[in-house]
Amino acid sequence: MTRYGMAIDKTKCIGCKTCLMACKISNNLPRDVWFNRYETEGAEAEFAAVGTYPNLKMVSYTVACQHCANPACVSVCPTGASIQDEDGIVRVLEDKCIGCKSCIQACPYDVRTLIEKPEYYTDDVQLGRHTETPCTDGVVAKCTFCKDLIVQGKNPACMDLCPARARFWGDLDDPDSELSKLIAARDYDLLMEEVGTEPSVFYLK
Amino acid sequence: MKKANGQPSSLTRRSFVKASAGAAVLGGGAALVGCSQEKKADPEPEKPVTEADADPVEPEAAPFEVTPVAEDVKVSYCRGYCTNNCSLDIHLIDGKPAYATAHESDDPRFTRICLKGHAQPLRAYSKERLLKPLRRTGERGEGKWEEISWDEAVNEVVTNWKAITDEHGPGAMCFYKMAGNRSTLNGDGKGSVYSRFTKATGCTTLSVAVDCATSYALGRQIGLGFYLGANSPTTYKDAKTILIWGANPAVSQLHNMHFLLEAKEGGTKLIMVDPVFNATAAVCDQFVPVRPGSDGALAFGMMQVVLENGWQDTEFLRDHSVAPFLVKESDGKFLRLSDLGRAEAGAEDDAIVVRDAEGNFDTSDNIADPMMEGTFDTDAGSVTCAYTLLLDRIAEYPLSRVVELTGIDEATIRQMAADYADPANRPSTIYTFFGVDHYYNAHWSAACMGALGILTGNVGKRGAFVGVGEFRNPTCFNAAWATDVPAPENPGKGVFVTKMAEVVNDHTYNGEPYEIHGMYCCCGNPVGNVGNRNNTLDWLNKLDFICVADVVMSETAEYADVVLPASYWFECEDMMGNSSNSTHLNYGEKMMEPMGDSKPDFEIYRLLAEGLGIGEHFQLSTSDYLKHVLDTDECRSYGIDYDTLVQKKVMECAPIDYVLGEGGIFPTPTKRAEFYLEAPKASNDDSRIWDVTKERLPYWEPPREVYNDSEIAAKYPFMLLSEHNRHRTHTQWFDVEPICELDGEPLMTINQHDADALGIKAGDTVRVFNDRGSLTIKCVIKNNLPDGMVSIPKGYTAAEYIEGHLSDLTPCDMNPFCGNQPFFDCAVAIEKK
Repeated sequence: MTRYGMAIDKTKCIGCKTCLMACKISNNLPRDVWFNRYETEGAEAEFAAVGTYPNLKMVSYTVACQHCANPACVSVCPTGASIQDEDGIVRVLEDKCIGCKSCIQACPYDVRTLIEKPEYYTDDVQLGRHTETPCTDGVVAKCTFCKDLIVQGKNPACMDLCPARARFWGDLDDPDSELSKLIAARDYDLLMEEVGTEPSVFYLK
Repeated sequence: MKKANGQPSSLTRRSFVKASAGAAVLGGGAALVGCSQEKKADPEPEKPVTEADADPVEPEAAPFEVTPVAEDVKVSYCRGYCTNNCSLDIHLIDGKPAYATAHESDDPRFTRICLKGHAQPLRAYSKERLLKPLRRTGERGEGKWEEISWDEAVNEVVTNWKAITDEHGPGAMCFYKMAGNRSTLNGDGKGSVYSRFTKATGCTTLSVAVDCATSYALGRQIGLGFYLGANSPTTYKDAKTILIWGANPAVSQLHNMHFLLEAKEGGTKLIMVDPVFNATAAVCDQFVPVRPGSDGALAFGMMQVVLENGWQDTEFLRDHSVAPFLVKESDGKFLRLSDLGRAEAGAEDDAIVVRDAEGNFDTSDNIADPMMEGTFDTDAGSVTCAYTLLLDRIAEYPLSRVVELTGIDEATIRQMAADYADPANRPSTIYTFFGVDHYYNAHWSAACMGALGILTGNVGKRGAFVGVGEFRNPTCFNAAWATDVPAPENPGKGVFVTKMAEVVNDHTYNGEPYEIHGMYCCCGNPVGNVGNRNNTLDWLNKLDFICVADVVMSETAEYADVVLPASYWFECEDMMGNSSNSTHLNYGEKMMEPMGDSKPDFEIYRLLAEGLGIGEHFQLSTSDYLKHVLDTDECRSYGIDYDTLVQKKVMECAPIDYVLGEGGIFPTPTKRAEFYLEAPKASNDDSRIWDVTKERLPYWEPPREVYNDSEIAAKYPFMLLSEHNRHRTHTQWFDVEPICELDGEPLMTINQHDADALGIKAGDTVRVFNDRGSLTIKCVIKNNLPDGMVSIPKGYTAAEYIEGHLSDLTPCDMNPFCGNQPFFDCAVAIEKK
């Protein structure tokens, strides 16, 4: 079986937000909708170092859907719109979603967005790759690991090119994948592991 | 527990982040916990929960199908002068740019893109695009315009141009261009149409004097090579220690970062020397907080430690530096054969001489082991070894003094010096950019850093350089052809934009009569970017005529009389013209028709040239022009010609693993590393204010405004750092909405200690002011800054601030010897609103 996952190296991430914008444009996300966001560990303001000058620390990483092995968002869906594919990808079926926000309430990672009257940046041109899951009014949207690209044998948009070479993506079920090897070799954090969601995004440290 | 990763747990060294530990260890996660708990505490979802909600249905598998969409991929490149010059694949769907990805380089180390590259299509489709030529109908800056035809617009520009130059000469029209389009046809650089047009019109060219001090200082000492003193990024890993000194590549030279991080992975120690704990410091091994503007003093302190420990590289100094050269007390110049009556002064064989221990004077070819220290009597009077002069200068900086000047404790200075200079830790590198550069004393500080590199032999080899790491103009272009056009009599010259007030108000330049009455501007925004904006607006508004060509209504275009709509980068073929931190020459395809009635700058030059009676020199097609520019032996040595470049899109145009001064032969007048300059030349062109005595040896004095005991600091106690913005390049990308969503409103960063002292809380509004102007802005509190420093990101436009502009506060006063804008040498006071 194939089970997709991702690793983000917190010792290399410099917060350049390239992956945020790659996701934003490639997925043609409407105004104010972002599937991928930037975080500074332990800080209230982004890029705020933690500690007392000059003894400071600043750890950067990005957060999108964790495609959990035990996703909190799927079981709470009243209509069966939130599903998990066999490849581990969690997604929303737009024709079944009623926009009730149950999944948004349940997800501990704040990575789902209810699309409401989407506004786009361009009037007569559609950005994005045109095969992405569209953002539909009244439907919850989120990162799909760019499943449309994956099935075409390509990488998710956020993996196009990480300037710091801090992002890794691949098959967790393949012990020989670069991703599996990295996870085996490195210490890592899982976001809020204690809530039992079993995320598929590994934060190398 | 089910394993998410399919790995046996014995193979993992998983760290279990517990809820309580999460708050300390994984703050972001902790914030998320807080976020979700807060949400869960809310019993009322915004939309009524359906009955089904209480009894969720079992999700069913659903098929996933994709119908592939036909794409056309065109290759372009980013050219806004962030120095990275990324080659991009622009994906067109239905013939229109829809998204961008990194263009895969033959060498994957140079495959690159950033958030600005991904946002490229939105610049092409910007709602701020200028679509028609405009004529001002209200007061300057009032924003009242009428649309006019290209014929009317060109006629108006040409009529005004001729009227001004007929009365005052060709130099009375000046041309401002900066970094808005680093390209050959529509931008600037060696061989550009800009260089041809300014030559043919004889207009004054305005020099922006930005980022000029460090490269000026290092250029004098070791030459600049391809990378402004540095070696190729592919060689960073060869250093055992890299001091990242006054640079923040994580924001400003993004695509150098992976080279630095890979070096670190391979065991190179990365030490960040900077006042600010920035995004690069966060991934370095050590952060050394240096007092702003004291970098030269720190270099002297390190040299002191080097000498105490005998870590100087004597062999390198003897064979590859000016150390053994003998400086004449009479005129400060090196002793030559002619001084000893053994050659004719100035003749080709009038070589510099050295002295051996027996007292013989001869050229270094004939004396293998020259003296490096001492003062001697000769027929030309007393002479002293250049190295002795350097040692005397270093002796002026005992460590106790350096500790006081830099704010760094002695143990740290000793440790840094050991990491950098102990032969066991060499070769070592000083990677700098423009953090040291933006002070009034910058070129002095940079010269001290260069001297540290020379003293320790940490220049001229793999893994060792002191430099900026910005690739200069491709040397291979045919600049001679581009400017092989006749110039009018009495053409204008280069004038520093920072001195325009003198020209406009006094009709002199450096005290000599000079007239400028009109300005043409493209690829630049002096109102937003030049220091002391009120000064800029004052001289600008006194000009008789201003024409600005731009893609959008820039802050400078707002003050123009005629605005010309320039086409965007996708709308004309072009080729990189200037500066990046890779050795690759990028080609950009035309992929869409010009938006509205916009025209590429290339065509605008042609129209203006025709009107000005010099049209015959601008009748070439874009491809013919590029063919001429690429017609050099150097291009051919890299296999570059126009057709091959169009086919390949990206080609190497410099040695990939370039090392400046390899083998100890430097591109300087003596071919040696020159910590002593016998004939320093100023880059500030006002000879009335030169003081050559500060220029020969490494020298340091405090910055002008932002040092503890300056008079100005007593009145304005905070240093204002104009911080590089990771989302924009200078004032570009302000019109790209997702960029603005990431940016939010401009905020001034202040640390908790200073904020408490001023009674400021996060989100409060403050007024920041000095004698030049004021700015009203909200605050954010971060402890990345030392006490006494605040920072505001560059790149916001006037309309985005509550009141004022960052450039209202920054100075444009240049060092008397070095033409350079000292943006960071800016003292301000702050009051809570």
